[in-house]
Amino acid sequence: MAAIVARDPSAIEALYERHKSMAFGLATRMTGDPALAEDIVQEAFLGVWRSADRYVGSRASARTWVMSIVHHRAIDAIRRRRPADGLPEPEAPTPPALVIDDAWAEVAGRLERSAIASAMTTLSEVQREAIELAYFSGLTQVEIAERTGAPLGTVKSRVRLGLLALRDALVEAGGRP
Amino acid sequence: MTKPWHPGGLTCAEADDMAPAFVLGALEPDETAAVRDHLAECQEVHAAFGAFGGTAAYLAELPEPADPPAALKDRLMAAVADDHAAVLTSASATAAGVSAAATTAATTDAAETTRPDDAPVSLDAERAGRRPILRWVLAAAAVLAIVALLGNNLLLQSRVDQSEELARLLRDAVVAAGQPDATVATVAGTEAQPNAGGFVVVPAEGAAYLVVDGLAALETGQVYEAWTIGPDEVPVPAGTATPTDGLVVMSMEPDAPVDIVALTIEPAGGSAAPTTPVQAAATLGG
Repeated sequence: MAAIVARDPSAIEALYERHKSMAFGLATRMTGDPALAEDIVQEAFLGVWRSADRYVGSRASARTWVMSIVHHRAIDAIRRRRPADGLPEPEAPTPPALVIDDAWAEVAGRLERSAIASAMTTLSEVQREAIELAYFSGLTQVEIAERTGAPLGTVKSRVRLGLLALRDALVEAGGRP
Repeated sequence: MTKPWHPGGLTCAEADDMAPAFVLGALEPDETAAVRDHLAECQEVHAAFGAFGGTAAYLAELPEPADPPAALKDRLMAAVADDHAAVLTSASATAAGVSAAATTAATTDAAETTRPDDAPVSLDAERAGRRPILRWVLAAAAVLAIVALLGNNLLLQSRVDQSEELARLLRDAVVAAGQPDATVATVAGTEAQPNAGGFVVVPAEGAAYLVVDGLAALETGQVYEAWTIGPDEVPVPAGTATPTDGLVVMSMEPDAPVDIVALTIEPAGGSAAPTTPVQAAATLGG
């Protein structure tokens, strides 16, 4: 990341090569549209190139930071497809407090994808549904309540308790969330 | 009675309650903005956001990875090149303006060691890699930075006069930049210190040098620490210094190939690994 801050294009190329598959996989899963996913991934990495100096002040792993930008832009793209909606600040960096404490290396406690999928199965069905509708479908809690017919307060509880359960399962599996 | 002010219009408890939905991107736009404002302005530690955010980060690992079309990389790199060219043009114009105003004041050492215009820096052909033109442009920008720094001589000289050691190191750095196989690169300040800038010199043999001007003064008990980072991406301590009116000149003796040189603020005596954000950095390889 320091090389990107120093404006070395080969550094963003290396970062792209390292994370492109995850980024494209996430964007495709969220949008269901490979062409739109390409645009999201390109804009996300261009955003990394332009704002890497913000990353240097954060405590995230490069992977976490890149994927948070891809997620953020994918949600923005999903909501743009709906009228009168959208995130307020597409360029806003992820606040340092939101990311994993690992400034100079990749996440030390990373788990295999299968272990994370297994951790998701420990959630109740309604908790898992709420989290997936929020994270992958880009729905707000209000929209999840409308979609599922559950009261808003119930949706908020499902999101909170679901994340807590996921955290416990990840710790159990050896992760470091 | 006046209602108490809360950052973003939220109490800390209200902000923490919104943390799970915030990290998933599931708040309404006005709620998201309020939380961002609160976190930006609030002095309290909001551990809930770190905890929930760390958990949510794992969700990005769930989708099946998929290779994008090769053409996407081409489009990205073309956009990066356009962006980079615009930045370089702007930076070069600034450096050229400074150097033009002060060229006549440049030191004798600089005049003797600055390379001819047609070969501003001898680039190692192997390290030039697949983008020799780009590397030449970067090297040219580095020379402009050197000229600008040395050309700003009237300001520089008064500080250098304060220290024979600083003057000797600066002279050695310029001489090293003139070595046939030296790699020279610009040092750019980060957002933390946007006014910082300078150059780094890594000759084929002998000491390397880091010259950074425009650095912020330090608090008592702090030093600037240089780090060299090679292909293994592990920062290696490369020396500490305190600035003289914002100027730091350091000699380094890296015992392995160097791709990046970075500068952080550390406790006096230096740290074994960086503990604070990078203040300035330069890239030499890659």
